[in-house]
Amino acid sequence: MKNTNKRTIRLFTAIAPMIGSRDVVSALRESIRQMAASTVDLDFADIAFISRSAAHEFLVLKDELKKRNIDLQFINAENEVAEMLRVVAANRTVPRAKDEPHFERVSLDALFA
Amino acid sequence: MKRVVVLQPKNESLLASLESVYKWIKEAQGERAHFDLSGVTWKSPLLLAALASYIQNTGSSYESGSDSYLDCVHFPKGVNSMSAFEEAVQRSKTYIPISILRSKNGSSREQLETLFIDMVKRILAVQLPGVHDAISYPITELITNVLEHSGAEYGLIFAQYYQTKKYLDICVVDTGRGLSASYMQEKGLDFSDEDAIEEAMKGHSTKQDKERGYGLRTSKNIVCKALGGEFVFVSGSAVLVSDGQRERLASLPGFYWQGVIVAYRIPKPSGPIDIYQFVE
Repeated sequence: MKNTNKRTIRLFTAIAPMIGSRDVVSALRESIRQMAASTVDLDFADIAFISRSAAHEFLVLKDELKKRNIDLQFINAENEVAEMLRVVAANRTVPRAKDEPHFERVSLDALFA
Repeated sequence: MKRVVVLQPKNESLLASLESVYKWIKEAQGERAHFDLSGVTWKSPLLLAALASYIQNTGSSYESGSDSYLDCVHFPKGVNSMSAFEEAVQRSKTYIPISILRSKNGSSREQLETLFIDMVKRILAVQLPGVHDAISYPITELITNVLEHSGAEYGLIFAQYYQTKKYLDICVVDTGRGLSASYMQEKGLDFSDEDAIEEAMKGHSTKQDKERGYGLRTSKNIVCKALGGEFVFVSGSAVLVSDGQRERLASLPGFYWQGVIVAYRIPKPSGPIDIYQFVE
């Protein structure tokens, strides 16, 4: 019988008001598996900022869990958090061409002149 | 124990601090030393963070004459917990303590990082759209790099806002494997330190995942292009100095930093900032 349990993880208390690093997002993987729920809401309420790396890790986690028939939803992601998730998701779909800056090789004397 | 005199930077520029750091690291040669700071009046985050990290890593010592500033910022040991950070800030209200972010500490580390960033924002006191994100982005990405790539047990971060000069200096340091070793160990690529920095800045991650490699280059772009600042990146025997117009790579002969030093300076923002045009 399909498990239709829905669980919620409030990220503000589970992690921190700002989420910067991949490892704390990755650690949610095990917590979610142990929940044995078919739907898990990641509640971003009161999260002030997530880094690009963390946003990417959340999206990768969502894809992985989908393959395991777990529906991971991002709820209450507002303003900058929503924008970061949106931009990173868009770049995963259609990667922006990476511009190639010109690196000038200089001597130490020239650098400290 | 070798005695190393830390030279006063010749001016207050980021490059002058880098030159001072270059000289003392070159002289110390990775060994335990006694550092004489008594002649240094311009103690930038770059100079102090690198020195704090070196002292902790090598069991070195220092002297500085009577200098309450070093006590206020908890040089060289720093603080490594939320309670220690809050206590430090309670005592010296406008100084941000050197903060140690340990890899293994997970969410308590994130909470300390949050406190650090919040303190920077509070001291900067700018309430313009996008500025908080612009402050948060490079700090979080640079710390993530320490945790994900360096193999180091901890990263050290330090910041100082200069009220009259209206700029903010930040430095993130680790004593991990460094960029060149990361490329070798993760991908079997043999790069010199200069080439490794160039590859990283082009967005070529040391990790296998093609969706990675954006954090460092976008952080540099936000610092230099969105915020009008300067960015210095040291790993091994090479350095990149970027100011949004020029990207200069140089070899540092006789010098070796095991790990990475990132230092940047941003003027106090005076208008709204949109970092998302630089996020890839």
